[in-house]
Amino acid sequence: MTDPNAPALDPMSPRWSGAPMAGAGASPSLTGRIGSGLRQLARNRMALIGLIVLLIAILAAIAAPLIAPYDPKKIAVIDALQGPTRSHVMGTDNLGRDLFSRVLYGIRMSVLVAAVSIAVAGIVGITLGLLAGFYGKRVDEVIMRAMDILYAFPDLLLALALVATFGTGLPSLIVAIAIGRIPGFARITRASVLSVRENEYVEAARTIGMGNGRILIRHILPNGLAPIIVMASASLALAILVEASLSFLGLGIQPPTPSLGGLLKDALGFMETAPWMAIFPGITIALLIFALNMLGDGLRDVLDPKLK
Amino acid sequence: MLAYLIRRLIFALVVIVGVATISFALLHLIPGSPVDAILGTESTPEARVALEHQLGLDRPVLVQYVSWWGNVLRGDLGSSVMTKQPVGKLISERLPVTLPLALFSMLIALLIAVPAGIVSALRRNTWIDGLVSVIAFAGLSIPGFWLGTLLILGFSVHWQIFPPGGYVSILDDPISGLRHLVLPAIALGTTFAAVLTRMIRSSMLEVLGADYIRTARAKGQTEQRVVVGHALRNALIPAVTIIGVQVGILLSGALIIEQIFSLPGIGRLTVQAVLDRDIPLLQGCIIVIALIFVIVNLVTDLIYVYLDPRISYQ
Repeated sequence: MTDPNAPALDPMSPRWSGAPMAGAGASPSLTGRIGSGLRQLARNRMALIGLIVLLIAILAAIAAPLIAPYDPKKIAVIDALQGPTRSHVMGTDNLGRDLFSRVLYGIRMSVLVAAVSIAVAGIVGITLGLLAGFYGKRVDEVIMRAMDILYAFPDLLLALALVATFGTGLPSLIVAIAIGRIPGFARITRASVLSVRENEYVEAARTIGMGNGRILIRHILPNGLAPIIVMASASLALAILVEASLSFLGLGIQPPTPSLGGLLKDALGFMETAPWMAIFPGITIALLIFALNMLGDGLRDVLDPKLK
Repeated sequence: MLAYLIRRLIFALVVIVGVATISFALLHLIPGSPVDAILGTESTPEARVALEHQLGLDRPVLVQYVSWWGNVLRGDLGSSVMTKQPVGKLISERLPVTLPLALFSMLIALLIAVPAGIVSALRRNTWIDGLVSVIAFAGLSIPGFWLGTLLILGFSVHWQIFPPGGYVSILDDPISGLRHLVLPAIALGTTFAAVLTRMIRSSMLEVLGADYIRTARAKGQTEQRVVVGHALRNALIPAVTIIGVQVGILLSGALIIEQIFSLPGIGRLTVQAVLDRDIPLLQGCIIVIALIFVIVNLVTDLIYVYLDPRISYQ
């Protein structure tokens, strides 16, 4: 489950671009570039569709307790395995629980786990990338070799290994997903730092006596942000996929808490009698990933045309 | 080239040592007692002592590490906590299931992606291009395990064309073996096909705009010769590069696809090791899977350098 869109590969590889990123040497005005980026994004139809689907999913996740017609954990055996009807738009599962309500809560879990994992991975990966790129030499060597080692694990394998070690549960799941995404953030941030650290405004900041920490946060990071945002979008899609995969294997979110992968797992025993149990959660996962991929592609076109 | 090769080999070695060290550390990172985690707190003292001894936990960590490396280098990956069988034997029994599955998936992906990518590039910005792009996007977005579930629902439960799961060796019965591989290979290869289609489309577009293609057209060569003889050959070179990365996707995918289709491969063995918290078995699976991933990446990198002399060795 390695990121299929990942532009950055092994630095020893002839494919490794270490590409200077958009924004390198550009005006440091971050707000101006974000505004112009958003306008360009709004003109990109695919990205706009992705963004709208994603916003709907986030709203559904937040408002799940308000819009879910039933308690997602409430068992009503008498209603078991009902096909989609007006009262149960996605049907019911083998325990009579309303599938639509469970899917809504599943989206909530998926979005929560993906967002927190990627936030953790982003914070750690960006910090490591900044340090590696800015200080270079031995710091760079140690950090990037460690990242290369983590990169040698296919995503799901690393997550499985960590779940086996730390056990199942939400915190373990988040750590397991986050660790796998750290190298991507570190590499792309390092490449950004390398491309902007010799710019005049960084030199100017140094000459006026600004400390390394402030230079990194105030000048280098904002100018290398574009590829990091693109990476975050692709990573969110992957995090949703890994979470669903782990829950599908019974190693992610534990029942009775609904998760999209867990709902698919439940469906396996009822393929002939209740195919809707597999169809609706699967469509939801695919739509979430589809939306994030489209948004990521659009963001890449807008923010980082060199990687198009 | 030789200097690059040596640097690349050293780099691969560092990664493999790192991966193996992480897999060794897994046992020691378990919160609390690893023996409790594996056996549960209800186990007898005798069983606990025996497991502690088997895992080497009754010795200092450094001694364990050195001795573990000594064993790994001799090909001894320890014994499974659950089945007591040698891990190396368990893995070597499972690889002949996973490798044909991965290869078949790649073949299916290539058969779909090469024509789709070419047609999409040649018919750029037409409805065909749009359709291929949307299907490729969908392929990227549909989780393999859901696609696998749908394939079973359609082709096994409803139409009964292919078996819903199980394994027959291709060597024992080629026809039945292939029939058992079709659905899992499609489920596993779809993401690969989607990535490859997008890659071939974009590299075809780049190549079709190159000067030598204009020259070939100016010389009056037929479109077919221009496309097949000049453009495709060069457009396929970058595709070689993503095979390395895609092997990671295939190996990850195998972890879950083998569960769905009840294929007794290394993916299923790994998941079973996690479910049983059979750490020695998991360590062995991690080392072997990561080793395959690193070696395939190394080989594809070297092939790429060989195929495209413009690539710098530095």
